[in-house]
Amino acid sequence: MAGPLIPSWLPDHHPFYVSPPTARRIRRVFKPNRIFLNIPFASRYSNLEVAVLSTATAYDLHPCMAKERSKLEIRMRKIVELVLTSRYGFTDLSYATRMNMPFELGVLLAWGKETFVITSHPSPTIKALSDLNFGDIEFHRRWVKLLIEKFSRWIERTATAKRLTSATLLTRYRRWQAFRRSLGGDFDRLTPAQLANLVGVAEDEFSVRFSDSRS
Amino acid sequence: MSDLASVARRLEREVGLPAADAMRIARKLNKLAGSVSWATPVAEKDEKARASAKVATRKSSKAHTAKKR
Repeated sequence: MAGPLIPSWLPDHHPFYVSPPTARRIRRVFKPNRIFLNIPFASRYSNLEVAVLSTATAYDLHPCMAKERSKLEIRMRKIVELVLTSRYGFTDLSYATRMNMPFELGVLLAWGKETFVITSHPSPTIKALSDLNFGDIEFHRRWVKLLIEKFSRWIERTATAKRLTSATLLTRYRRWQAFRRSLGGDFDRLTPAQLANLVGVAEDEFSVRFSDSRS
Repeated sequence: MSDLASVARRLEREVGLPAADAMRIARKLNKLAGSVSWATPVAEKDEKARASAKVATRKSSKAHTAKKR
């Protein structure tokens, strides 16, 4: 993929219309290792969120997600922009009642983003989605370890030549958890990109090791 | 160990944090770095864990063989 897809054929009254300034911003921000996270923004998901962030950044992927709560139209435009600046997608369908998750999955797939799909348990809704036959849906049973193993296997198959052991990824996850506890409310306020940069600064300035190049 | 003011400036520059947030977060990172468990690089820690697991397995397997005899 040479550059980002810009849906320039959409008319300006379409909810997904991309204005010329937005298109320029998408071209500037797009990275071939950027991944859009379509995950619940809820306290009960926070451990799994840390697992997703620590695993994605371990493979030098740049995660992004729409954290802020805003009006539907503004949020949709934000999501469209984030999806278009990414090459990959991650979707967790654990909360089947939240229809925005499957909807955003549809946006990712429609625009040809390679997407990892996971959920906690098999459910009738998930079975219906599987019947659409767009790919495999993995299950994590709300276990961090299972999510890390399945997500890392997908990344190694799809996005990188880098290889990491589960033990390394789990240690990294535990260190990200310590990082989250230490940041407190700031952790939720910062974007995934800011958190990844913060980890880099912590490693440089304080000799804190989140991962090791030999792994 | 870096001084907090220069870390805060780096956080402003590289993470895009406002000055007040940058200093607060620099303090938090400094406190986090004081934790002992951060001293060992991840891979090294994994190797140690694997080595101690091997020793434990060897011990239990010896005990098992002795019991059988």
